[in-house]
This record gives sequence, structure tokens and C-alpha cells, in this order.
Amino acid sequence: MLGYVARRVGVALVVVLLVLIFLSVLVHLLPGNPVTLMLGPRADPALAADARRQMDLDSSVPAQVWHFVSGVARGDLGQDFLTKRPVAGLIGAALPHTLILAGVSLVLAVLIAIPLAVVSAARPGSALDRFLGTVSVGVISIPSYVIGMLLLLLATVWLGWLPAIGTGSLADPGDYLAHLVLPALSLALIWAGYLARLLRSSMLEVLGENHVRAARAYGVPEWRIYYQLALRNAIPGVVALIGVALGDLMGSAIFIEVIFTRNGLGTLLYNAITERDYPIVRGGVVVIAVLFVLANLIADLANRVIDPRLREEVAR
Amino acid sequence: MTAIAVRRGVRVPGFGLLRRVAATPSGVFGLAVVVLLLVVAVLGPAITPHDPNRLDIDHRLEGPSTTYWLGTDNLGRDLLSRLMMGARIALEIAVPAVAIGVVAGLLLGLAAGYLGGRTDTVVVTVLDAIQSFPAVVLALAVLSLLGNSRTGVVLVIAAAFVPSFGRVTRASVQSVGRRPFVDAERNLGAGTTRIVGVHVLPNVVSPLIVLTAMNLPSAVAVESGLAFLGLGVQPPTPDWGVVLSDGFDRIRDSPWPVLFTCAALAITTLGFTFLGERLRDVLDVRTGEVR
Repeated sequence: MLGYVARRVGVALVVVLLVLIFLSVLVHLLPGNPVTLMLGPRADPALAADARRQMDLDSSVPAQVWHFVSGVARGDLGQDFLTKRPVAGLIGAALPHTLILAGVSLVLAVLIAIPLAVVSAARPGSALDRFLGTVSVGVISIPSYVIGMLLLLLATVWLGWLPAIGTGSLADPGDYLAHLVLPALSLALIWAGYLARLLRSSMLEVLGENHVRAARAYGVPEWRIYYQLALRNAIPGVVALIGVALGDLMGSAIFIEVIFTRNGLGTLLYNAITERDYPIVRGGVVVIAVLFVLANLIADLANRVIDPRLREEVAR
Repeated sequence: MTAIAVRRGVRVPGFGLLRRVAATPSGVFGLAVVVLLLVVAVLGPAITPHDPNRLDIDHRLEGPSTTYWLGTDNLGRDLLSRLMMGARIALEIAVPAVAIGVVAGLLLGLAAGYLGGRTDTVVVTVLDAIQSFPAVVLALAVLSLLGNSRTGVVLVIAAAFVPSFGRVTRASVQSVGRRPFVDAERNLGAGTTRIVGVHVLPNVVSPLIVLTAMNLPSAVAVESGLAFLGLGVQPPTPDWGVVLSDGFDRIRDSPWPVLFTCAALAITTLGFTFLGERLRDVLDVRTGEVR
């Protein structure tokens, strides 16, 4: 177990390192002058000189990589071009809103998916099962920003429901929650569809097995068969997916935050793109990538603890 | 599942395949959407009812009418014509992006699966690193620098899709490469080219077809999403993301541009996905891919 943990953490560190190196040399990989790439062709010369110094472009490339990687290790993501504030601080202020959004969406997705999966798995092949299957595939394939836009139209334009946009204040939890409903739902639907299908298939896997038949024979009520015996088999699959889901949700959250004018990492990135403030974009991308790798790592390790079968397998 | 047994053996895609794809309602829907999209994209300007960039200031933000079937946008441009041209732009970006992704993924997957050992480790690590970015985020990092480069959009989306194609290829190659008949043939003196060409490639084709159908809508979604954020295709080009962004700015004045653009995106992604699902059932492929 300890060997596995060490190896898995090692792989995660290598991936993070590759990502950081990639981001620090990106301006050199792309064709064109780095400063022009960052600031656009009509940049003010003073600003350009400033950006050159700030982005460490006068050092050699290996030195730039080292400065950037060691900076990130210390929690220093540089300063933004326009206001010279530390990027880490800007991201630190925005990130909680995005994490809350992603976390609530994920929980919502699981809560929607479980009953749908149970209904489907109870009568596989029935009209209801096929209908839910089609709906799931449907919501999975539609981009989250389309779902978000449609929910926004429905809420504000047709129902005149105002808490649909903005962030609300964390000091007023009720108000904050009211503002969270639609964005979280927009993000949750996709993963609800995905999880419903996953849960359904892993439940069907065990429903035919001997211990389930024995439980039925002993008169264990049906709801316990589905919610306890069958769902348990699905937990490792869901946990494994949560890492991927969280990364995907962070990506989609960018659109959802812009659509619902919510504070968060996405809105910060969107504004930075509009204002050509590259250090913020780079810092935001670093944070999302690191969180994604971390979520996958935690999901893998958690699965080792939850599912004894994995420990017996020979590691890849 | 239906009781019809799927015939196994050598599968040559053709009209038989099309007939089997069209055997279910979702298959018909997927096929119809994709064909319609291709027709609109290929004929493009020849069949749009109006010039997609012509301004009609007197008829701004109007709802559907007999002149403008889907209404007009904030500058009085015909929404239907813009969305039709948008279909062409979406495919002009998504098709090359996915094609590059298929080819690069195929080559990397073949190398990793067939050569194994250190090559395999390196390829898998690189694919993992690419996948450690959600596609949109990778695109943000690159396109915030490249700005309005269409080639940039194509390459970034291609790069984001390489891992999925690479993994599927690698898995297929590994499962075929370990079969006894491949060893036997190698012992008989068959070279790598023959083994890859005759035994490995045909087994990879079906999963790749399915994955292509599944990835095309994601490519359209990512491309339009980026344009919506102001990256990649820029106004006034009638890209779906640009039209959506224009509509979003005036959503309180008229819901129609947002509504119809969302419909175009939803129908397109649904069509490709249903087609992909149907192809997967017909070709009897297990992809096991998580997006």
C-alpha cells in the first residue's frame, strides 16, 4: 500500500511539473514575439518593457522555468500587468466561489443520479429505462453553457426570477444559496446523466449475483436490495470518476460563471482574457490543473481504501 | 436490448452499416442531423436566405417573421443565415481538429501498444499530462496568447483529443498483439508492417469511428464556447459562439438569438452523439472512455 501511495504521488508530481514547465515556456513555443503575444500588437512601449521584466523574459529559458516552478512551489504566481496585485491573492479571493459551485454541483448530480439509476436498474430494457437512457445521453452531449443559457432565459426572461444572476454574499447564506441554484443545476445535469448511466450499469452487474438472490430469498425488502447491496458495488466507480468530474466542472464553471455573472475563477479568467492580462490567465490555469491532478490523486487513493479488491491486484 | 443478433465477422462499413444505423429512432435522428449539417455546411452561402452580414437597422432584434424566419440580431442581421454559415465554420474547425487528433492518437497509440516498454511509458505519461487539463482550460492557456488564430483553435482542440484516440488505439493494439495467431505469423517471418496493417489496424478502425463521432460534437462545443469567451473566431464572423455572445449581450431585449443558437448547438451535439451511440451498438465496440 505504502509503495503504491508513493508511486501514485510521484506520478502526480511529475504531471504537475510537466504542466508547469509547459506553461512557463508556452510564450516561447508559440510563433511571434512573447510580449506582442501577451499584450497585443498595439501595446504601449512602457507597458511592454514592464511586462518583459515582470515575465522574466530577459533571463535564459531554463532560468525562467526554474523561477516560475520555484515561485509556484512557494505560492507565488507573479503579479498582474494592470494593477500589479499578486495573482495568488486574486485567485485566492475568487477560488472559494468556484469550489463551492463545483462541489455543490457534484453533490446535486449524485443526488439526481441515484434515484434515476435505481428506477432504470429495477426494470432494465423497460420503456422508462430506455427513455431515461436517451435523456441521459442527451444532457451529457449538450454543452453546459447551452444548458446554462436556457436556464437563464427560463428564469430571468420568462419567470422574472431575479436571484438568477450575481453571486450573493456569503454573510447571508440564504441569499447565497438562492444565487447558487441555477448555476449549480446547469453544471449538475451533465454529470447527473453520466453518473446515472454509470450507476445503472454497475448495479445491474451485481443484481444477478448470488448474494443478492440470497438476500431476496430471505425476504430483505427491495429498497434495501437496491439502495444498500446494489449501490455499494457502484461506489468505487463513482469515486474514481469524481476526480475527472471535478476537473471538468472547473472548466465548465468558467462559462457558467460568465453567464450568471457570478464571482469566481471563471469570471476572473474571462476578464483577464478580455484585458489581455496574461499572468492571471496563467495563474488560473496552473491552479485548475493542480486541483485536477490533486482530485484524481485523492480519488485513486480513496478507492484503494474503500475497495479491498484493488489492493489485491498487481499494480500496473 | 433487442433480440436481433448482431452479425459478427469482418465488418466493412458501407450501405449495410447505414441501414443498421437507421434501424432505431435515435439512429435516424443522428443520421438526419449530420446529413443536414453537412448539406448546409457544404452549400453554405448558396442557400442562405439573406447575406449573413447584411445589416437591416430598421429590423433589429426582431422575433421570427416571414422575411426573417428566425428573427434578427442586434444589428438587424438575419439569424437563420448566420446560423447556417455558423454550421460551416463549426465543421471547418471541428473536422480538421478531430482528424489531426485521430492521426496523432493513432500513431502514438500504435507506437505505445506495439513497441511497449519505455516508449509505452513515455507516451502514456505525456497523454496523462495532456489530460490533466480540461480541454477548455488548455485552450484558454494557449489561445489567450494566440488570440484570433483559427489554426491555433484547430491545433489546441486536436491536442486535447489526442489522448482519447491514443488510449483507445493502444488498448486495441495490446489486445490484438497478444493473440497467438499474431505470434505465429511473426514466427513465420511476417514483418511489422504486415502485422500492423493486416491484423492490428482493422481492429482499431471500429472504435476510432465511434470515438470520432463522439468527439466531433465536443469539438464543436469547445470551439463555440471559446468564441463565446472571445477566443478563436472573432466577430463579425457568424460563428455560433460569436452569435451566442452577441445575443447574450442583449438577452433582456430579445431572447430569440440566444434561444435559436442554443437550439443549433444542442441539435448538432445531440445528432452526433446519438449517431455515435448507434454506431457503437452496431459495430459492437466497447470504448469505456470517460469523455
